[in-house]
Amino acid sequence: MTKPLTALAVCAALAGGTLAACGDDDEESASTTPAAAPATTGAAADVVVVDMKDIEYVPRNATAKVGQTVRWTNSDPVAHTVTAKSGSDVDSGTIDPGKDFETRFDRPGKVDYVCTIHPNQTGTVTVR
Amino acid sequence: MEMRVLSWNLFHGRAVPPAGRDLLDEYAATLAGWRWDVALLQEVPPWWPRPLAQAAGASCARVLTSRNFLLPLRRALAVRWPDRVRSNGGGANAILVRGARIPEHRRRRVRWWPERRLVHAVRLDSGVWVANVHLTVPREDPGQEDLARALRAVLGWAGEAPLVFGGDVNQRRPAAPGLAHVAGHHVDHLFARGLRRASRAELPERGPLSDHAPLAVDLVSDD
Repeated sequence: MTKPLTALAVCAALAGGTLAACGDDDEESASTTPAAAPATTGAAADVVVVDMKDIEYVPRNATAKVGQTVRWTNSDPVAHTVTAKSGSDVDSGTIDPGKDFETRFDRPGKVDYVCTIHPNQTGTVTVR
Repeated sequence: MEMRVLSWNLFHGRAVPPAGRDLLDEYAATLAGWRWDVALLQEVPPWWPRPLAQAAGASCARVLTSRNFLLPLRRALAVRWPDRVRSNGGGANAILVRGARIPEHRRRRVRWWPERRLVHAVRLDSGVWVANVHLTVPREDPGQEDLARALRAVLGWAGEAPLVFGGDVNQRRPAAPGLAHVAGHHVDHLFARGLRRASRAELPERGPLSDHAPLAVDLVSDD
């Protein structure tokens, strides 16, 4: 029984290279999170716009002036949130696809925030 | 009613980097150690659901997916050489349920080729339906037709009852009209209807097990 089993194991191992798509077709890929980038300035000069796209905040690290408004726009087909982890108590609640959320930061500092729906979706706003 | 839902693709019981041995005990201990009420598992070795459920004190419902011809032989090979045999050891998806019975279990085939994919769902004592899916997304399905097909089947079973629908949908931005997206990480996602998110989505620590992170979230009844 051992020899046929070994032969079958070899066949299975060889076949695995071409047939084992199930375990390989959806492996986690490396993060595509963009590096820090300057925030896009919205149509209104006093608004910093952060896009929510492909389950990421773009830019991930935004900068705003004290008193400036930051607007998050959900361009994804899924909902997101903007929920502060530190530096603020901002919590947008659910932002449905196509909707916006904005808030104004009146104190300097760094706000770390996360989407509570997508644990790896994180961002910062540095207020100067 | 509160419910913590976990979704995890078990990578056919393998680890990253490869462990070179059977990892049933490690997976069973890990799953048993986490807090969840319902676990949606994909890419499960077909002989694993029952021991996983027993270790976690859960009931289980299983469907076989791809590569299950001559399963006893595949099992013998996969247990001995899991990292060489990989998905050729056979495939299953499973729903584990703690603290509740499974009065009803339904299944529907979503795709034959290139891999046999199914959606399956259980009705819990509470009336909540919980559905588990693992989809292939071939290039000819950019419109997420498989996801829509799976969702139609589940909506047909559940009627107006509260519903949790999720698993490995193999898409980063899936759409499930009529359901709220309650958690997502990479290609693993959870949706709900009649239940809302009561916590942040979390990625429980899994060590080297699987190439997918587990995804967990607390849900509570809308009413």
